[in-house]
Amino acid sequence: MKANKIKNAIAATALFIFVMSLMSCDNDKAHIRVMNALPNIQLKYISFDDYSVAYSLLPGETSDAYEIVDYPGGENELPVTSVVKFYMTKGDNQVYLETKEKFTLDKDDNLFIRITPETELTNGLDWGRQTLKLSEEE
Amino acid sequence: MKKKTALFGFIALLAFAVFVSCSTDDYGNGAYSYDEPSIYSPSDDILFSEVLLFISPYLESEGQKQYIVMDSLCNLSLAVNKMTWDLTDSYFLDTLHLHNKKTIGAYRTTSDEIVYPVVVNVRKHPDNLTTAGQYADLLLNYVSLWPGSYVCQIKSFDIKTASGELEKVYTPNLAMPIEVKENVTSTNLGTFEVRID
Repeated sequence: MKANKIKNAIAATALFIFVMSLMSCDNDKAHIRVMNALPNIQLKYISFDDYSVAYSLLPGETSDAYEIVDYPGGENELPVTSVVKFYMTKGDNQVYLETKEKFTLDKDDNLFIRITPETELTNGLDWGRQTLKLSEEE
Repeated sequence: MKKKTALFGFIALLAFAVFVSCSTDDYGNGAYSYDEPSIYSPSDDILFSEVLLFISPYLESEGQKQYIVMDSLCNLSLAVNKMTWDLTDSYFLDTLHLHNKKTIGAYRTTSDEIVYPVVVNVRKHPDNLTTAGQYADLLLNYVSLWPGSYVCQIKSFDIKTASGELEKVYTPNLAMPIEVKENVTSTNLGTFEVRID
């Protein structure tokens, strides 16, 4: 009798784990890759929204595909719309930049973003400069 | 015969080397540095940032030097290794308290020597940066005035007439060397008297 109870408990636990694993496999995924298409310049700390996509990209290098698993109602909920943020570095000099364009990563997407010489970027200080310019014009 | 050919070849090679060393490519990306607040560097290196010089424009009247009186000398154009820096005005002068003033031709002058101090900043403000290529170019050329020897030319400046109008003075013969030393922030080029004809 006691042995049966133990057997049932083990079976229930196994079933629960199986169902949970099935549920987690059901979650949608999306992938993002970023390429540094800038000659002679290294990109560092590349991130998309709160996701750290790559630590460093040399000229011509593409990051590994960064996977985001969709947890509806949780922190990782797809779609995610964000700019790409990174440090551009050369020797000791570095500048923090964001793409002006916002990218949307949805379920089952494979987003590939190339940072080229033509990519429009902005730095937080640009806002200060614009404000200054406006007040000068006034 | 062989010796002559070898000698000719050597001279030709030497001439070519001199030609190549004098080509404008040697001047690189520009003898100035940029002032861009969004660029951060942890380096504590002291970078060369300004050049001081003193200009003294004068007329000759009855065999005597008469120095031009104006509140400031304007739009001094200075080039280092052929790269022109931003136009700069001199410090303002208190002309009210100058003595021995008189008008000669179109100019207010004085027989007392006047020098106009000019501080030329070598750090240029880049144009609006909007693309990754522009930021990359700036980072690659952020500091280009490294320690070394450069050729400095004072190309022109504006003086003011008695009625306050600007008049350009070209100075093609004002060229001098600049020695940029390590951990030195500025250099004094000296005083230059410029005769106005």
